Amino acid sequence: MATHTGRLIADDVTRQDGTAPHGVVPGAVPDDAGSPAPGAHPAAHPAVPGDGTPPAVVVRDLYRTYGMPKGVLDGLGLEIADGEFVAILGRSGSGKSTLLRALAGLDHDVTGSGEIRVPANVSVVFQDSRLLPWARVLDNVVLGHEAAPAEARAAGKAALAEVGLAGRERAWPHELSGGEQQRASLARSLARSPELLLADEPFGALDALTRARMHDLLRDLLRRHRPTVLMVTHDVDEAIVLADRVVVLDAGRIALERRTGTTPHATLRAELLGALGLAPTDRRKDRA
Amino acid sequence: MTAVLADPRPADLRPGVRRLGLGKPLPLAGGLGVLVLLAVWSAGSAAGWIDPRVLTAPWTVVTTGADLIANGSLPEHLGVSLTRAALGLVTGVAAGLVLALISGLSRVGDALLDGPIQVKRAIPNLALIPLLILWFGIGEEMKVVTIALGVFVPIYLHTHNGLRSIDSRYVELAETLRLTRGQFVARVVLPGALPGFLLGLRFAVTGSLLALVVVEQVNGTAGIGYMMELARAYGQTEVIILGLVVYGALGWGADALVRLLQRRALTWRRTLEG
Repeated sequence: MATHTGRLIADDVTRQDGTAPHGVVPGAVPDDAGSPAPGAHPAAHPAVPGDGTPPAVVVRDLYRTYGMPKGVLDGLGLEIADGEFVAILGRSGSGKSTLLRALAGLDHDVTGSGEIRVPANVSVVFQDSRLLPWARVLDNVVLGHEAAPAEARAAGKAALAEVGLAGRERAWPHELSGGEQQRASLARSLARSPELLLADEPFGALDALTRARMHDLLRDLLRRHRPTVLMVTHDVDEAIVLADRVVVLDAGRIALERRTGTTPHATLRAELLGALGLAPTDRRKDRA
Repeated sequence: MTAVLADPRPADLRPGVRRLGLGKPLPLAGGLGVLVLLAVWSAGSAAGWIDPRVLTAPWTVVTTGADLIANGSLPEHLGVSLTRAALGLVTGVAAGLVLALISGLSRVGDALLDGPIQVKRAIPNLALIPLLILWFGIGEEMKVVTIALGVFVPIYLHTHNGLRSIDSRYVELAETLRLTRGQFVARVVLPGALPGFLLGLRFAVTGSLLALVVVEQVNGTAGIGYMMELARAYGQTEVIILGLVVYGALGWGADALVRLLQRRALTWRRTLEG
């Protein structure tokens, strides 16, 4: 399922042959036909919206109401370029999780309208590792993998090795630490080479030290696999450090949008905290 | 003579806190009460405090058992009883499992099946015996059906509950992993409901033996219950006690078997037992 659109858009851009680039607008000429191999990404930096490459994710006029008069998402629009990492910040109730669930196609019973286009191959990383407790680690990683069993297991083993869990294939999930469980869930996503990775506060349940280590691991993995990423987080610093672009949601709309890497960390942080309605503290002055 | 060598470690001084927990388990914990009971029984019989017509001495039960095994009547009755219980158990488990899957996995099935089964549950199984005798006669068929009816209820209830209490987060995961319905049932639903099913199986096994005891005393011509009925007519207390011992051993053995199965099948669970 490449597209789940609201009632505004009827066209379906399901990938028929499995090779067309994702996010193709019907009628547009694909200019980078054939998915690039992982690691062979043409650009060192993700494409910037508006530079001619079709965006990987398109969200237009998205409304989600949960039956309330004032919607949780209120006409939201967002484009994410191929290979771009966007972090979504926002207070509780700002609609950030609703947006992620809408992109993941998990909001079956929620009323709403608008257009959503995502690549065919989407993977979700949840806040909890969500490993099936009755399946061994490798079986969890290859659960639902589309390839033939032997191939899937090879991909799963490789992904586990990449996240540093080689040799733990036969372990039960409860035998892993919290950080290891989250790494296994990352491996489950990686093993499917997703075009779009949706992450819902993926490190929110981890202690600070483990979280810092996971940041390094994630950056390393993304450098090699180059999926498009949308990550919901509460942590302003995490957003700045990991993402190419930080988007602050408020009342179901985009309140602020900033690229990282050009503005000094402290300035950006103060600006984002301001948009979140918090006075910046100098708790982490030393990181500026 | 006093010890000259000083212990290198300092003395064990710790704050005195009243222990409210249970502490370490006693050795032989499970069997201790049974052993005490056996000892009292033996002593009472040996000393002549217990009238053998009321309660036979333990050794008489053992020798009676040996005699009945030797003349082949105990194995024969036991075989008949076990066959009945097994037939009823298998039928009941299969029915309970299928019904639980239908009503646990579809809203329509739930709407159609759950109500009648809850009504059936409210009627004591043994109260159905007169009706079952009218329907199936007094032969083996009635006996097996009665046992199966007693067995399917706990299997249905616990499996259904197991299915319904599978964490919705795993359902979401299955959706994002694009599992087919078949994969979802095989990889998520069934393993998730297995603990519930096995708990139901424990109830079912004891329930099947319970039903067995009752149906065997309804116009039986063979079986442990029939053997005991016959013994009552002749005043053979030792045979009645032997029958009780056999029923007890059957129940305990079957439950131990299911518990073993539980431990084997649920190694992924980290429980209090470790």
